[in-house]
Amino acid sequence: MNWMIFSPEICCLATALVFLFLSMAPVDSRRDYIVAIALTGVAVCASLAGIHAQGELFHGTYRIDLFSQVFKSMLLMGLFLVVVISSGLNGIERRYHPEFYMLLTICTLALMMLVSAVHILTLYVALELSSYSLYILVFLRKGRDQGTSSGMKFFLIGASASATMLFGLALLYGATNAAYFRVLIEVIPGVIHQPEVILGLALALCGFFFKMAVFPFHFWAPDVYEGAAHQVAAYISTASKVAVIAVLLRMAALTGGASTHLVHFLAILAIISMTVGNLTAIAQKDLKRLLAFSSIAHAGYVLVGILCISPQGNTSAIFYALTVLLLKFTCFLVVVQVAFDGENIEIDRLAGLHRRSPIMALALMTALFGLAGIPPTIGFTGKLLIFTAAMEKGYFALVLIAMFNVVISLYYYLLVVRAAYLLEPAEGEGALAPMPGAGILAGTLVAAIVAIGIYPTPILELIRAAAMALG
Amino acid sequence: MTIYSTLFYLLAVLILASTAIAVTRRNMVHAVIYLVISFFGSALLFYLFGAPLLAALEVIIYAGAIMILFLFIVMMLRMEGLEDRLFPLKQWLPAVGVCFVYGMVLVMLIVSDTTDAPPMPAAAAAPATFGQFLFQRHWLAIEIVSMLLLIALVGVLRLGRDAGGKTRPESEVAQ
Amino acid sequence: MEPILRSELLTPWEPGIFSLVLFAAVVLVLVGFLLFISAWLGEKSPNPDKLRPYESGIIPTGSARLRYPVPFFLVAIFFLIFDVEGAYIFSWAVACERIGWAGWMQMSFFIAVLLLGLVYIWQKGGLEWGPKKD
Repeated sequence: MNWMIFSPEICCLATALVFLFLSMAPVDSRRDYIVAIALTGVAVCASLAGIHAQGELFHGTYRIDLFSQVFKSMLLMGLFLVVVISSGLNGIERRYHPEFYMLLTICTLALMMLVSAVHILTLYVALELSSYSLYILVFLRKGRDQGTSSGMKFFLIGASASATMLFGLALLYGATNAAYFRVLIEVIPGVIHQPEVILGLALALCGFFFKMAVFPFHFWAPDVYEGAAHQVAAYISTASKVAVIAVLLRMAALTGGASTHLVHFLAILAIISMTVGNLTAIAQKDLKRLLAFSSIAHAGYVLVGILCISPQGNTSAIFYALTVLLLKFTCFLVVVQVAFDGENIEIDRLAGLHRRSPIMALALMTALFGLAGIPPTIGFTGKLLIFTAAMEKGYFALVLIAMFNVVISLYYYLLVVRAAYLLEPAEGEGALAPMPGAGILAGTLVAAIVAIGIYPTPILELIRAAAMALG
Repeated sequence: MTIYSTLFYLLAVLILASTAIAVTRRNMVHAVIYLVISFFGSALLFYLFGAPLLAALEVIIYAGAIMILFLFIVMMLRMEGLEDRLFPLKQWLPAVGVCFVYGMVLVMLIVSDTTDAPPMPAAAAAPATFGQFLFQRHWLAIEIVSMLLLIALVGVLRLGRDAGGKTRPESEVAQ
Repeated sequence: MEPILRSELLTPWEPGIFSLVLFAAVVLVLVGFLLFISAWLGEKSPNPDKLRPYESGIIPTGSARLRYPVPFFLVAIFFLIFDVEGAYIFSWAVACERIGWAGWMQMSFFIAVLLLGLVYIWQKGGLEWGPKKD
């Protein structure tokens, strides 16, 4: 067995163990923060160094190829960024900080295994591990009522979604007699007309729709974003979404595009998700709730890319994962800086942000313009790729509805930007004192968002190759 | 009718009946007891299908540990007024929806044409071979489970501690 | 999972139907016999004093349905978690000779992780009972 290609996972596991030991040591949140930055930094380097690794581990239940490694790098970068904005971490009690980092790294480990798993048993167990660590992360919010009630909602909806998924996987296994993805991909196109296969696939996807917050399973998203600590909400909206996009791509690739029923099913979910997300977001007062509804809408856009089941569609979905990671993280970076006390933040509280901290206001504006899909940001490029992929497959109506949704979403993104730029700051609100390095981070992110938006070619080449590894 | 199928139908009726009774009980403790009977039935079913280890684990984990947990939770909750409360419509609707989906699946499975599909081979396994299979093919999943149990411990401690902090003053007031 | 019978890894296994039926019959007959004997031979003369929960003369007060304190719940859930761990150890133990040292390493990692969990809850005071020593 080749342990070198498993090194990113081992880094993550080691980090988690270090924090398990630290949680039994005396409380020192400064030490935890520095250790976390160092160890996750090492993990990011390990994943970037091994991006071209290939191989199979654990009796063929675990595949390492360019597709999985690209996603693992994104996941670890997401983890690293979330750790970077945890220096304040005022939303969680001090004595739980080591547990916070431990659960975060275990969750990332689980998501990495999810991305690489090519056997339904491994896939299911990895999904459960990531879900459970997220439930507990939500519970950790200081002030027990908020965290506990939203955590409970998250847990109950999640448990029923994973039960549904298990039922679907059982149906799939019963119908095809295969559990390895490499066998399934050969068997399924031949038996796709059988009702239990199509139902099994649809139900199996439900578990991932839950994590993605796609329409019938989206109820948890606003409450959890609002009830969780900012850093946890940032993690849920970036890293866990990225991993789920990977798994959905793998699952959709199983059908080989042979089923129009499944495509219709996904298209309906995509349309409802984006419409519900965008229309509800307009009415939101709380910034984190607004971001939650916007991520429901973005789940809809990604589904459009996924349901193409073509190389272009897969490329666009992977690129969109990167887009969501960068843009959502930038939004949460600003949320953490403005609400440094760890309390929830109303949109009105952003008033006059451009006076209080010009760089944060710029970062927020760039990220929101990116989410709305305004050029020259990465968000525009991502949406363009998705819509061209869908047009190539001839889904005109779907693209039209998505375009219409983009226009709706402009409205509420602009409302936030208006609050930051056009409103005067409230009495007594002085200059914002961001955490050290936040300005540099925000500047880097803005540069990345614009630079990749204008010149995506090198990254797009890598992603194209990764999408090829999927097929 | 062979002795196998006789036993199968007997057990199926037992499981269905005890689960139905468990769902409809107003007294939660009674519901838990009926659920234990249902688990024993499933364990026997596993045994019949050739999975003796699974049957033993069903009894040890489900009928043993999980039911103890259920009993403790039932005892921890406030019981007053629970027995004569009907579930509100809001809780009925999703339940009916889920039942409808599963019922539809069942009907589809029964009416679907399976003549050309070969039946699945029965997965009969002695305990030792089952363990061998599990540890040689799926040991990654086992290690993931160990981490799952670890974070479950962490989470339970956090939840239980806080719940304890919340209830203790109340009980002191009551005394 | 693979279709198990096809892989040469697993041998076919026949449940002992006869012994199962015989055992079930013996248990049913025995239990029925004992119940019948005790109902038939037992002396029955109920009166209100004998039907009280405490026959010793203590009059019960209040409702029997008090809320259990949370530590019970914690212990129950710890028991459940380590019981599930036990399930994996059983399946390793029955195959321990066949899977050799590789299986031993896998099981050691599994147990080590859960031992760490036990140390964690111990150190954090999850196993403490009774009033807090503040």
